[in-house]
Amino acid sequence: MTFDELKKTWQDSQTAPKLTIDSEMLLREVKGNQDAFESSIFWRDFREVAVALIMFVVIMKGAFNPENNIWIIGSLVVVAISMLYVAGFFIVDRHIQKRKRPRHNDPLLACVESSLIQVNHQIWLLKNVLWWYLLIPGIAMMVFFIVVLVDLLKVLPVSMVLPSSFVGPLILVLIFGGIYWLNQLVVRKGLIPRKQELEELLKGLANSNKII
Amino acid sequence: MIANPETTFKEWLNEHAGLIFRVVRAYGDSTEDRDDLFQEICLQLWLSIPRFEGKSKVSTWIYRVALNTAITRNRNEKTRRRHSKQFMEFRQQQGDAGQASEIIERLYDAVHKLPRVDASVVLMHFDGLAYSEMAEILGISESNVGVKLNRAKKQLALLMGGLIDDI
Repeated sequence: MTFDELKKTWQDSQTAPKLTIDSEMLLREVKGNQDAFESSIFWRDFREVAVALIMFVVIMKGAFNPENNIWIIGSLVVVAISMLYVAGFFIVDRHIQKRKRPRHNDPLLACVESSLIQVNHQIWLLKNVLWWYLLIPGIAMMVFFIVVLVDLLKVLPVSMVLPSSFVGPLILVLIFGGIYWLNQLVVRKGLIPRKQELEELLKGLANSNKII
Repeated sequence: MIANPETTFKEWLNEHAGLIFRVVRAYGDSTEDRDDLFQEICLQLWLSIPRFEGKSKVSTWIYRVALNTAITRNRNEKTRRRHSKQFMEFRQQQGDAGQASEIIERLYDAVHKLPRVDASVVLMHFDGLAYSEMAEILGISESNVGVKLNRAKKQLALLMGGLIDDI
């Protein structure tokens, strides 16, 4: 069989009229999927902002307790503000990235390139989670623990204070370490393979002159 | 600018279901995966309709959306599908039993094994698209389309185990 004969067999076999699609039901489903997706995005952002705001109020309330010294107030205020900063960072970043999302009616090359830009941004974000997410509240909380320790040492013997003073920082390190580890795992297991896949696609389209 | 996106969507879907089916059939791994891909293509079509400017043929434009979705989708990502509804019976497309349908099945299997970009070039070539249309869909030059098509034809001949004898 020649290639042209194969092409003719293919074209003769196209049985589109045999396909029956309930376009009304499909449209409802597609709109439902779109609504569900947009609603999940909205509630995810809402949750993050709501949690940050609640944490902000609770920590600020705790900070301005009349018994607190200036160091405790300062460290707690920094923690509270960093909560707002992280939530704001999430929202602004998502808003910017939303505009850069690949558009499926663009040529394939442009679509792959914008997908790759998005994946690279996500990798950057997760790889640097320590710098933009964990570091500021982490340092502020450590300062808080140290100040509390110093205050306790003024009224209690060292033998009583020291063993329990490690609990707070240890929990903090475990939580923050866990967050960092999880983010790096997502990069390694999910994003790097996706990046390689897109780079492979780009290579498949390469050796070409762009016409866009 | 499309005046009535809902009517347009339904019309285009009924008119070009075969085209979408062929992309889904070539890129989907299993019945469930094809169903997912079909719905994802429909969703992207729906989202893209407001951006249709009428500069290209509707079929070329739909081909572009369908191929972009099939080629760039992240298989590991959870799909947006809420329900497991099957809107299109894929087995229907296999048509009448016989040598022709067997050849088409073998052809789909071979296309499925090609690299994703090469598979798209073969699909479009079999559907009779001109080099200029393929270049427009892929965003590459016509000469590059020719190079890719020749390479894909050779691979296809190998994958089809001697069925094609003029390569």
